[in-house]
Amino acid sequence: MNIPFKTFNVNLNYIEPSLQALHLAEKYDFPAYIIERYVKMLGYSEAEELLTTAGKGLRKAIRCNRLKIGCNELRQLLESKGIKLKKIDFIDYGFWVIEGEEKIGHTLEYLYGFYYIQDPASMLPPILLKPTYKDMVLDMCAAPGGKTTHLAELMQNRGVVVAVDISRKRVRALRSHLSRMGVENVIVIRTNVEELSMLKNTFTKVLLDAPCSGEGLISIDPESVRKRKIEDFYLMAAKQLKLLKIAYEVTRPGGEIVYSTCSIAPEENEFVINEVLNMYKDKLVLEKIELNIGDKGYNNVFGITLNPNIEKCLRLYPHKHETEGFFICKLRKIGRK
Amino acid sequence: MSKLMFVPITGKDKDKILSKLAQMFGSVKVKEFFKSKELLITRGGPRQEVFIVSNEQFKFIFNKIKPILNKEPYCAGIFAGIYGKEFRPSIEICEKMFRLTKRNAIMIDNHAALLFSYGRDIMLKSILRIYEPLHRIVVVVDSHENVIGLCKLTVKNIKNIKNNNLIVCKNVIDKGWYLRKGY
Repeated sequence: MNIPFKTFNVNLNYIEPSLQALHLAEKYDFPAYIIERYVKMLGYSEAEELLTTAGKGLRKAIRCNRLKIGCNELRQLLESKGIKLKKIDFIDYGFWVIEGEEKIGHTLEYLYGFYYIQDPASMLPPILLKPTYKDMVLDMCAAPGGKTTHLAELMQNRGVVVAVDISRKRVRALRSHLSRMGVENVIVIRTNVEELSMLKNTFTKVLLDAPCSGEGLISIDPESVRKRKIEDFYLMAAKQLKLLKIAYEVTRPGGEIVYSTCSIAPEENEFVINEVLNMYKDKLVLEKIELNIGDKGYNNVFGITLNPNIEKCLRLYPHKHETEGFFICKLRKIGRK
Repeated sequence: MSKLMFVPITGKDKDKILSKLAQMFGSVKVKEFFKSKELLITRGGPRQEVFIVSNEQFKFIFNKIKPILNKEPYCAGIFAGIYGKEFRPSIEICEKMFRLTKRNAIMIDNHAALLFSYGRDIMLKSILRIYEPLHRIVVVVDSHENVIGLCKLTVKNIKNIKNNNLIVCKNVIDKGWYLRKGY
């Protein structure tokens, strides 16, 4: 297998574990190279804080579907069923489930499409993309539809969202969620997203929630993080870079791209953004993210200096923000709309 | 089996669909609802599905997806139902039409609503309100007028029935189907 380390111009010395990393690796039963990366990213004590979240799970959250119901009304309805909610500070229509988590997927209100069960981090990409009814939006890896239904809601069911995914099973789930949530403005295409590159300069806004290693899901699925090899991150990064190039091609000049992953690996995030910025110098810029949450993206990590603007990206961590580990950034294709 | 294709519905086929909905919800509102919308049907698949799309969606499908990508959508807009010998409307379109017309529906109590969402039928005693006129296929709503599904009346005149425990409407489809089976 051809591992694309060269694409990203890295020397793998950075994963050589230090004593500190070996100590944490033994204590938390993770591969030492993974811990070494965390120590380099976060420092020893914060890396340990992150590791203590492994397997602990995350608090559930819901996004109120304002296409169907007002959020106060939803709150009252659920509270009458013993489900207590608390507003998420950084999302007006998002709520933490404080009590009654076990019931949240089994209510009539869920079937009526009044809400979507979703981690708050995953609510951010559509908010950041900020589509309106005037937009032609592409959701590149859309299934099972959390972000697609959110985009449709922000567009008040007008304009067009093209939702693409290749998996037959996941596309079926997407369709069910679209129906349940009362979404009308979506066209679903089941295809390999690479085929979309024929639609050059078509979309005003593109959402790429890229397939990733899932390293940000350490709280939910630590086993899959334990199994990861360094090659996996770079293979994923090569795929993400390819998808981001397609996103660039299909975006109209002046249009915007939001890139996100549920991974905290710089290899899948900052390295990919750095590479795409190098590739499209003066044609693609990072936009500032105006959200009241998160840490800055790294512009220097593992001893590698990256584009300074990458600090405009946003990172979320389970130990700090109580969300999935998440990365998000917003790019604009230079040119006249 | 030939390749599945989305094609516009015209002529008799379109009339058949609209007249079925008009029988259920009245012709005025049905006409109004479909005024600026396009109807598409799938041909060549295991079943003929009908979708309602906006002009923008229609243009994107016929100007971009088909000619440039050489693909067909998986689904688009609002799923309106299945076309066959008879047109079978979906919950989605019936929900929209009920919101506009407030007719052809029965309201049931919350306990019965929960049972209906698990696929159960409706007994007379569960009915709280009737939104007349009723068609053979009726919209089922809970006490807050949230649509739970569709049922088929098993009696001719529901108001003449005295036996409270009699099943008066059989479950055709309910929203629990999204969880139990899905598309």
